[in-house]
Formats: sequence, structure tokens, C-alpha cells
Amino acid sequence: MKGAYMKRLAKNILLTLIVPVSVTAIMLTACQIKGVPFWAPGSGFRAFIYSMMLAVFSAFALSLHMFAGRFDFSLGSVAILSAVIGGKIALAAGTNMFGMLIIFLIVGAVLGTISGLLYLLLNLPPMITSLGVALAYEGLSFAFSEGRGIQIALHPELLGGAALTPMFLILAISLIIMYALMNFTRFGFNYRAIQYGQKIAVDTGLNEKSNALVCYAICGSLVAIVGFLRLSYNGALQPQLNLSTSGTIFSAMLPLFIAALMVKVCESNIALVIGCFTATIITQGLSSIGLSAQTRSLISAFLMMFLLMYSINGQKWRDYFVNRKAKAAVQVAVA
Amino acid sequence: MRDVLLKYGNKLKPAIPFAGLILLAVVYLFVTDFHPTPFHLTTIINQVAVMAVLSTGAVFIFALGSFDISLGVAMGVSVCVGILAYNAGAGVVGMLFVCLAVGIGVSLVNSVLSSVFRLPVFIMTMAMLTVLTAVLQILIGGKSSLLVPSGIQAPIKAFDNLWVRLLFVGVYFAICLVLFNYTKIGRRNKLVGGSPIVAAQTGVSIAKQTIITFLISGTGVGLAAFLMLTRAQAVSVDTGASTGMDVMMAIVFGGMPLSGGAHSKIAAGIVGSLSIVLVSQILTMLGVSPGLSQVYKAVLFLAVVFVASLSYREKMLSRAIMF
Amino acid sequence: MKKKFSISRRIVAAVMASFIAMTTLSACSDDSDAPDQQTDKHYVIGVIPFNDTAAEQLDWNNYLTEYVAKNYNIEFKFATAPGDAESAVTVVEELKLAGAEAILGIVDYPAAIQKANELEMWYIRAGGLSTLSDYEQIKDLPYYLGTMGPSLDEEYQAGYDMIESYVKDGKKDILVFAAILGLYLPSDMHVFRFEGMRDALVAAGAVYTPPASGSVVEGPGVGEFASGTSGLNITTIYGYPIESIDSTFHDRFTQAVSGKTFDAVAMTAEGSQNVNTWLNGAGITGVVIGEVSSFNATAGEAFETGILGYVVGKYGSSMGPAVIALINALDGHADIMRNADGTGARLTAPFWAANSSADFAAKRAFDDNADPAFNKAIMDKYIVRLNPSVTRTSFIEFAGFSFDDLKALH
Repeated sequence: MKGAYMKRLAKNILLTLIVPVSVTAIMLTACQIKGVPFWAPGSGFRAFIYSMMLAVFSAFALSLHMFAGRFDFSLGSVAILSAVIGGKIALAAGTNMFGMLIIFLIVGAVLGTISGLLYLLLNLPPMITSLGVALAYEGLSFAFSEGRGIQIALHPELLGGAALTPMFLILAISLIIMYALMNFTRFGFNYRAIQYGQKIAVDTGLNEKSNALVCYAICGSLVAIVGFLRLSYNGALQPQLNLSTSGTIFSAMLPLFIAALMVKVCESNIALVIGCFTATIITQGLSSIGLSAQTRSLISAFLMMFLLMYSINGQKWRDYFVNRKAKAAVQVAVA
Repeated sequence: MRDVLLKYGNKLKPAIPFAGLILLAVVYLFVTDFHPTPFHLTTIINQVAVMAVLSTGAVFIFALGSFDISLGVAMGVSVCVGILAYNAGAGVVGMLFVCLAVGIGVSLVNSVLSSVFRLPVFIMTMAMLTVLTAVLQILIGGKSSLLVPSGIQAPIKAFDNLWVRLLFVGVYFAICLVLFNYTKIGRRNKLVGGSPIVAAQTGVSIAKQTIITFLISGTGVGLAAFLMLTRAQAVSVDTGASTGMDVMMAIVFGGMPLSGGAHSKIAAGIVGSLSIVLVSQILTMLGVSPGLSQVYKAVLFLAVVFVASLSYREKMLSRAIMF
Repeated sequence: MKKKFSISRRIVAAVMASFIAMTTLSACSDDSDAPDQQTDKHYVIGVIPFNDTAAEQLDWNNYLTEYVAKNYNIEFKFATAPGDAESAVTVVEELKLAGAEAILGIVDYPAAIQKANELEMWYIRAGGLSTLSDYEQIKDLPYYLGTMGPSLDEEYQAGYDMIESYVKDGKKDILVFAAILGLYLPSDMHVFRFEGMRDALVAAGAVYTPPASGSVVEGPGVGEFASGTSGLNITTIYGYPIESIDSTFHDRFTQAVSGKTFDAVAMTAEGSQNVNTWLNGAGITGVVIGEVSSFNATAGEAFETGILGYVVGKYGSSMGPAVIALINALDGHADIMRNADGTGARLTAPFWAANSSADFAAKRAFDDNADPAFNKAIMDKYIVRLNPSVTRTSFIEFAGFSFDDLKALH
């Protein structure tokens, strides 16, 4: 019994790792052939982890909504508004970078909750509510800062949040919290019940509204981390208008599709981190070997399209090949 | 009495977006000191034409219960190829056909991906948005924009006028109105949007319906590209970048239920586009700053959509069904 | 099934309605910026920003509302910065609807300028000179006053002078950050600034290799420098630090600076605080940065803390001559700016430069909105209505006043 479990575990680990390991191997080989380093010695690894972290937290938030049947255009705007409000509070309070992170998490949760409350009160499709919220939050981040955004570059005590150690710490703690939240709490159970059977869950008395609201608050905090990292890494952030903050969502799609490949054999949060790692490896590798931005975009988009096709038609394709093999075997046998 | 009120109230609810539009028109008149000029009307039509054509075509996809977010960038690519064709000597009519061909071609690809590979339209068009943006960048070729050269500008300027816009919007809308309300194309669209399973069981080919739908919206993309080209005479990588979401806002503003189906209205595109143009003009006339202007637009948008949606409420929370 | 219009929904509807009503009313009744009625003619001028959030643009906006509007009987209507040619045409129409009679544009979309002309609105492109190709398309339009700002030669010289000052100061390890070059959104002014830097480095003995066609560079190129006889170590980087536009910028930046030390950074744009943060993140500290930006508050802070060591840029009241050109045109004296052959003019306005914190602070203080560099006393002398002796030649001189000229006039 235990042997079977171990065997299944080993198989799952193997299946989980096959995509990231093979993608990394391909990209490293491509760089080797080109004679270029995969990432620059020294701080190149930090830049890579930073890109991956942005993808991880955007994808966490996006997936939490998507698996509950919601699509949220406002995530990018929550990140910017959290940075504008949180940064101003942190500057006024004279706190350090950990204090700033806590402030960002709280501001993000509040902004997420407001967005969630609007969704609950209006009971409009979440995509529509989120369009309105994105417009409003973008406008407010402009209005609150008179268009100037937020600058912390001259405050060394607030910088440093995007150094390697804090980033790894943030990732590890968030992963543990998300894992615990989804697997060992009432919120997680209810979330899954609603995910797989909204009607039955609601009919059996489950409070869908409070679950959705908590979800919005968590997503707000998750994207506030994106705002925190971007502000820490760059020292300054500008407001964006005309729904241009929605770029955050589009950049989280590829990691999400890669994660979908391994979600059957791996815990979903871990799958998401591996998806983000793989997507960042692809982008980094294509950049290192010298492909232009347009070519990289095209490759990423085609890859996304292929993964989408595979996730929907994969079984059919596999069946087709299995049948063809079987037919060939029968023909050989007959011959 | 209450029942009677509710009965008539429910009947009137679909008219709320129209009422909203009328209210906006009154505010507009108020802001203009009740002295509107022909220029006011011309400007509204000038600004609404591109969005009206795009969103009227998009209503067909919306009615299926889905949405193509790549519409704006598809229009950008269409404008770009149109300019390249025009500069290569295709003439204005040639350019119109090129715009149409590109618009319909891109839509056909979308429809094949959606119907043959059964990809969820919204997510698929998100990937398509990235593909088309990269294609547009490649076509523009490292320049900040492509222009129609001034030497051959005159023929194009002849099409940059109110009557051409009215003609294009009018004819396209009339065709869409007939197709949507009086032919089996529209009826089937609403049926598929209401319930794909029921539609399939009644013999409707979802694949065929999807292809027809995308062909209609692709024609809108091509026509909108032509109108955009005659007005802007230029294309840049930002052309159409946020138009996809603007179209979604316009259609919902116009009273279209996001789930599509039986409540779908062909006029939603035009009503919504007109509303958005009026709001934008009112805010500029009042001198509202860009940041606050967006906040007001957001509040108005949510308010109108909220009131308009009161007629079809569910016990459960709304979820997206388009992916 | 009967549907209830629940209390919560009623509350939401009521709150929304009152919010809209309040905000609309407050927008209608906002008269805090009412201009002093100091001149007899009231004009409404529309402003089309190039970017709603750029520090430079915000300083211009403040000068227009805080100083010009209060000292002249002018009302400014600000449009949202257009993202493409079609939205530029739209904002011209909207400004006309808002009552604007003329447009102060920091953008030069030919279709938008043609629209302004069609609507009989005077248009001046300020803050920089239009490219020649754009200018050729619109120069004959009767309502096009022309374009005013640092010429492309000045842009070139700004880049050249920055590098020359570094070389004079004995800087050896230089990072050239060519901002948006190498992407799909090049801008002529950035190209010329980079070319100025390039030629100054070559003049110092460095050897420049342009980018190979089909390389990583998509737009006008940023190549590489070898030391040659200069004794300089030069590193180049291009790009735009917004993830959604240039997703691998940080990766390339890190690749470029990794394992190196720098004495100085030469930037073709603003953003010294960002660059300093990235360099610190890569373990590189104590670098002096030079940027082409504006005399804004953020640059001032960066100067005070020693991050910034050299600035070439525009300043809030540099919009003054453009406003005067529009006033003259509205008064019926467009010929004061337009060329004698009936085309729109190209008038050069110089940059200011500072290479120390004290120098920067003094120049910024000189352009305070209480009494800006281009103040009423100076500008009134170039309004034909108030001073009929103004000629086209004197107006061109006025538009081209340097810091020293203005200082002498105060």
C-alpha cells in the first residue's frame, strides 16, 4: 500500500518536474550554443527572480478569481493604487520596508474588499464590475498623487524589499499561507465547493458571499505585493490611465496555462509557482539568445494558444495516436 | 396594483439604457447652455462611428455568451495593412477592400480556432491579442507610426466626412439589425447564448454559427478600420490597444447582458457607444482632470449597468461563463 | 417569479445617484481658478498634454493654471493625453466643444492639427520641435502657427555636452542609457540626444560600432563602444522600464551592468531615481547620473542627495512664449509668429542646464510660479495689442531667450 503511494508520488513528482526541467535544459542549451550567459553573473539571478515574483503574485490572484468563475480586470490597478496609498502612508509613518509591506498588504486587502463589496452589492458579472473598478482605481491613483505617482528612491530604509532574501521570504511565507488557506481552512473548503458546484453549495446553505469577499481581500493583498515589489525594485511608480494596468493580467496568462498542465499531478499553488518559473525561464532564455521583443511576444502567444488547445483537445489527440498505434499493431499482426 | 407596476416595470427595464442615453443628452444640453450647434451633432457622430460599427458587430459574439477582446488590435492590424496598401497605390477603394479582407481574415482564424479546436473565445482572443499586437509591431517596422503621405492625402480626405460615416454606420447597422432580429442567424445566436446544449439538440450547428458570427463581426472590424483610417490617417502600436475593452464597456453600457442569450439587443452597441462619447464630451466640457474623469466614468458605468441589469437577477452571484 | 428590489440595492442606487449629482455639481461650480480680469479679452485655450503623468507636463500645467490663468484673462481646458492619432483628433473636437479657440499642443499628430485647422482653431506645437516629415505635412495650414521648443540640434547638443562634461571631469566608466531607443516607440529627440552622446564619445577617442541589422535592436539602433584611444569604458543599454512594454528590460539592464563599476550615467530621458535604485540593486553605488528631463521637484531631490549630477531640460514657464503666440493669433496677429511665406514657423527655444545642486536649486527658484522666468512683465512686451512695436524678429528672439537673457530682464 505504502509502496504504491510512494510509486504514485514519485510518478507525480516526475510528471511535475518534466516540463520545467526540460524547458530549462532547452533554454540553457540554446544559450550554450549561442555562447551567451543565461543570466548575468551577480545580480542577473535577482532580476530573474523579480520577474518570476511579479508573475507568481499576479497569477495567484488571477487564478483565485478564475477558478471561482470570476475574471478581474482590476488587479493591475489595485497594485498601482496600493503602491500610491501604501507608499504615501509608509513615507508619512517613517516606517521601514517590512512596515511598508504590512501597510501594502492591508491597503491591498481594503481595496480588494471594496471591489468585492461592489461585486456583491451590484451583483453584476465580475468582469463588468472589475472594468468599473479598474477605471476608478486608475483614476484615483492619478488623483491622489496629482499625477506624480510615488517615489521612495531617496529613502533607503524603504528600499530593499526586492532584494533576493526578502523576495524568497515573501514567496515562501505566501506559499505556506496560500497552501494552508486552500487546504486546511473553512475558506478553502467552501471555495472548492463553490468552484465545483456553485448551485449545490449555495442550496446547501454555504455563504457564497462571504467566501467571495474573503477571496477579493486575499487577491487585493496578493497584487499589493506586486505593487510593493515594483516600487521596491524601481524606486518610483507612475500612475497609469485608460485601462493600461490590465497588462498585468495578460502577462499572467502564460504561467497559468503552463500550471494547468501539471495541476492534475501537483498541488495547485505549487503548480502555479512552477508555471511562473517555467514561463520566466522561457522569456529570459529567448531574450538571452537575442530574439526581438516582437518575436518573443509571438512565441509566447503561440505557446499560450498551443497550451490552450492542448488542455482542451489533449485527450482527443492522445486517443487518436493510441488508436493509430493500435490499428498499426493490428495490421502488423494480421500481416 | 403592485403586480401591475412590477409587470410594466419589468417591461420598461430594457429601455433603461435608452433612458440613460436621454438623461445624458439632457445633461449634455445643460452643459452646452441649451444651445447645441450642428457642430455638436457632427462631433458626436464623428467620434461614435468607429466604436458603433465595432460594437454592433461585437453584439453578435456577445449574444453567443462570449466576447472577442482582440477586436481593437485586429482593427489596428487592419488599419496598418490598409495604409500599406494605400501607400502602395491601391487607392481608397482598394484600401477599403484590404481593410475588410484583413478584418474578416483575422475573424475567420478566430472562428476556426474557436469552433474546430473548441477553444473558449474570451481566453483564445486574449492570446490572439498578444499575437496581433506583435504582428502590428512587426508591420510598423520599428517606426513610431505609419502615415498616409501628404502627397496622396487628398483622396482619403474626401472620405473623412460626416456623410460617409453616417452611410457606413447606417448601412452596417441596418444589415445587422435585419440579420439579428429577423433572420435565423440572430435567433440561433440568442439560442446558443441562452443554452448551447438546447441549441445543439435542436439541430443548430454551433461551429457554423460561430463562423457566421465572426464573419459578421470581422466585417465590422474592417469597416471600422476604414473609418479610423480616414479620420486618423496614421497607425501606431497603440492604435486599438484599449479598444477591445472600450467595446465591451460600450456594449454593456448599451444594455447588453454579459451572458448573451435572449435578452441580447442589437442596438446595445450604438446606444452604449453614444453614451460613452456623451460622457466623455461632458467631462471635457466641464474641465474635469484626467484622473477624476476616469472615476466619474467608472461610477456612471456601474450605475447604468446596475440599473439596467435589474430585470434579470439571479439568486446566486454572477459568474463569468465565457471561459 | 416576483423580483424584489432589495434594500441593499436601493441604497447602492441612491448612493450612486447622489455621488454623481454631487460630483457633477462640484465640477460645474468649481470657480477657484477664476482668472483675474486684468486684460480686456477673455480667451479659452485648450491644452493637449503628451503624457498625463510626466513631471515636466505637470509643471507646465501648473504654470498655466497657477500663473498665466491668474495674470491673463485666459481659461485653460486640459484634454487627456491622446494615445494615438484618432484620439488626438477626438480631443481637438472635444476642446472645441469645451469652448477652446486655440490649442497649445505638446503633441504633433498631423491629423489632429488638420482637424484644428478645419475647426479654425489656432494650433501651436510647443515643448519641442515637430519632426520635419510631420512639419512638411501641415506647415501650409493657415491656422497652424508652428512649432516651438528645443530644436533637434539642441537635443543633439544636450547629449554631446553631457558626455563632454563627464570627460572633462575625468569620468572613466560611463553607462549610456538610451531610454526608448531600440524599441518600437522611438522618438526623434531621443535619437538626437543619443547621437550627441555618441559623437562626444567618438570625439574623445572611443570607437562606435552600430548595431547589426536583425540584431536584438528593433528600432533606431544602439550599438557598442570600444575604448579606442579614449581610455573610457563605455556600456550601453536601451529600453523602457515598464514591464508591459519591455518585459525583459531589467534582465538586459542587469546583463549590461553586471560585474562593472561606473563613475557616471548619461541618460537620454528622465528617471535618475529609478536608475540609481537599479544600480544599487546590482551592488553598484556612488554613481553620478545625468539626465535630459526638466527642472522639476523630483530632479531637485535627486540633486540634493547626490544621485543627479547633471540636468539638461525644460522648465515650467517655458510654455510662456507659446501662450503669447496664441494670444497674438487670437488678437489677429498670427503673422508675428508665422513665416512671411505663410507657413507655420519653427522657433527654437533653448534648454537650461545645471551641473550642481546649488545651480539647479537657483534655477528652479528663478522659475517659481509666484514670479516665473517668463513672467507677465516680460511677456506683455510681446503682446502686439499691448505693444504694437513687436516684430516677427523680436518675437523670435523672445521665444529663444536663454536663462541668462531672462535673468538679465528680471
